[in-house]
Amino acid sequence: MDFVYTAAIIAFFVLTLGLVAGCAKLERKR
Amino acid sequence: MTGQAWFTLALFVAVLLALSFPLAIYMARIGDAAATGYIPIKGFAGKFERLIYRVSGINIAEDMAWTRYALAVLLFNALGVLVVYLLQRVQLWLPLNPQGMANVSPDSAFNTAVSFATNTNWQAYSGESTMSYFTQMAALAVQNFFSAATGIAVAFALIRGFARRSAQGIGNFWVDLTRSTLYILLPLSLLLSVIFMSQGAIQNFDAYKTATTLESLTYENPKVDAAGQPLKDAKGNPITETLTTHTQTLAMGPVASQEAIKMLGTNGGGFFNANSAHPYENPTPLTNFVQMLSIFLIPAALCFVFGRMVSDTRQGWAVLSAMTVIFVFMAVVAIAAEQQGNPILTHLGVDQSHTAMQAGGNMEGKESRFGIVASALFATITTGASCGAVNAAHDSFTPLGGLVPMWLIQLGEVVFGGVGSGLYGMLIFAIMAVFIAGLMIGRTPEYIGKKIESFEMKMTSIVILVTPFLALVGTAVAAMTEQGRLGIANPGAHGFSEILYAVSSAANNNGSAFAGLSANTPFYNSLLAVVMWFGRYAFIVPVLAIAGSLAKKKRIEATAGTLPTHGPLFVAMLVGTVVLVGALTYVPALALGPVIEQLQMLAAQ
Repeated sequence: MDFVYTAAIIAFFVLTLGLVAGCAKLERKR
Repeated sequence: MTGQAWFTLALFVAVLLALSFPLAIYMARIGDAAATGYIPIKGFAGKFERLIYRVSGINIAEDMAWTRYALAVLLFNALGVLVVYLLQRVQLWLPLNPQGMANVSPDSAFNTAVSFATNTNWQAYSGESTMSYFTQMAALAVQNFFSAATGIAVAFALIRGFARRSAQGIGNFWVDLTRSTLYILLPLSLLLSVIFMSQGAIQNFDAYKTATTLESLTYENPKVDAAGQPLKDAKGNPITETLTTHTQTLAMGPVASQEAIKMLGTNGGGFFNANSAHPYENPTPLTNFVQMLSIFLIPAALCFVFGRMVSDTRQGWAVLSAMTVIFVFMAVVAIAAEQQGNPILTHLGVDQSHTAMQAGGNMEGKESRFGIVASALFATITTGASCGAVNAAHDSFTPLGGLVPMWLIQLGEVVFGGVGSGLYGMLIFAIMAVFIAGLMIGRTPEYIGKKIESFEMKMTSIVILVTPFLALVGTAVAAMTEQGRLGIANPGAHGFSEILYAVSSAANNNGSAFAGLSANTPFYNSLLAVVMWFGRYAFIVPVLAIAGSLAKKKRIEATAGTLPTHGPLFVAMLVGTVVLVGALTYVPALALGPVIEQLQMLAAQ
C-alpha cells in the first residue's frame, strides 16, 4: 500500500502542475 | 444573548484589533523586505537567515514569475507530504516513542500527511494513542509552521501583485517561506508556549503516567492486531472489548509548544483527541481566551499589512470591516442559538434559563469549565478561520448553532480565515465584488488601481468554484456509496450533516468535524485527502496567477468613474458577495441537513 499512496501523492503534484500549465496557457492566450 | 456574552464578544474584538495593528507594522516590514532582496533583521537572526540561504543554495535576489513561485509552493508541499507520510510509517523505530506507538496504517498516514501539509489538520486518528512524540514534533508540528508560512507567502505574493507596477515577478517563495517562519511564526509561538505553560499546559517527554482512581470504571477498549493496528468490523467501526479498571492513564508530551503554533498557524490539529477541551492543552479560561485571540491574530494583522503594502491603509480597513461584520453576526447567532437551548426540553417543563445557579441553554457537548459563550464563540472563531481546533463538540450544538460553523467553513474560510489564505480568499471576493459593480455601471472594473480583465475573472471563477465543487461532489460520493454511508453513526438529516460538514471542512482546509462520523477508514481517508489537496492547491495556483497578472499591469489613478473600495458601500458589497455566493452554493445542501434538523426540532415540541 505504501507504493499506492506514494504514487497518489506524486499524482496530486503532477495534476496540480497541470493546472499551473493550463493557467499559464490561458494567460498567454489573452 | 446575556450581558456576559456581549461583553466577551466586545472584549475579544477590541483586544484583537489592539494586538493585530502593531503586529501588522512588523509583518509589513517583513513582506516588503522580501520583495527587495535585503535581510530585514540584523544580528544573529539575520546571520542565521543568510546561513539558511547559503546552505540551501537560494538566491534571494531572484524575483520569481508566478509560474515559478507556484512550482516552488507545490514542490515544497508535496515533499512535505512525502516526509510526513514516511515518518508516520516508521515511527516505531524512531526515537522519542516511550509508549512504543506502532507505525501508523498507510491510509491514515496518507490522510494525515496531506491534512497537515495543507493546513487542514483533519484528524481521523487520536493523537495520544497513535503518534509518537517524534512524529508529533518532527512531522506534524513542522508542517504546522510550514503550511502556515506557505499561506503567508501566497498572501504576500498576491499583495505584491496589487502593489507593483509593470513587474515580472511576485517575490521569492523561499525567502517568503523562510522569513514568515523565522521572524513571524517562531517568535510568536515561543511567546505563546510560555504563556500556555505558565497556565498549566504540559511540556515534557515523559512516558504516560498511571493514576489510581477512587472508583472502578467499566469501559470499551479498542482491540488491536499483532502489528498494533486497531481492529475494525465490516462497517469500519473499531472492535472493542469491555474492561474494568481502577486506574487512569494520563497522556504526557510536548504539548504547549505544539499548542502555540496549532492556534497561531490556524492549523487546529490537537496533541490530544479532545483538542482544546483537554485541560493539558487548554488549562484555564485565560488560555481559552488567548487561544481564540491567537487564531485570529495573524489573519487580522494581514488585513492591515495589505493596506500598508499597497500604500492605502483604508483598503485594509475595508477588508477587515467586512470580515468583522460577518464574524460578529455569526457569533451572535451561534451564541444565541446555544443559550436558547432545546425547545423540546422547554416543552417538557425543563428550565433552561440562564440564572445564577445554572448555565442554562444547551450544555450538551460543552466544556463545563468554559460554558456556552466561550464554546460557541470558540466554534465561530475556529470555523471563520480555517483553524479547526475545538473546545466543544460541534456535533452537539443545536441545529442552528451547528449550521453557523458549517456555513462559515463553506463561505471559503474568508471571515478572517486561515493564516494568509483568509486574506487572499477575501481579496478574490473583492475582485468579484468590483466585477459585479463594473457590470452594473458599465465600466471596466478596477481594484487598487489595477484593471480587472478577462484573465483575472477566469482565475477568480476557478477559485470561487473549486472548493464548492470538491465539497458538494465529495459529499454526494460519500452519501451515495456504501462505504460512505457505513461511517454514519446517526441516521437521517443529522447523518447527512456529518458527511457534509466533514467534506466541507476538508475542502476548505478547516479540519474540525462533527463527531459521529467514523472517518478513519480507507474510504474516508482517501476521499478527504483528495479533497484537502485540491481544496488547497487548486485554489492557490489561480490566486498566484492573478498575482502575476496584476503585477505586470500599470497602476492607474482613480478617476470620477472609479468605484471607491474603501468606504461603507464597498464593505456592504463585499459582505453581500461573500454571503450570496455562499448562500447560493450551499443552501440546497444545508436544507437537507441542519435546516431539516431545525424544522424537525420545532415540529417535535
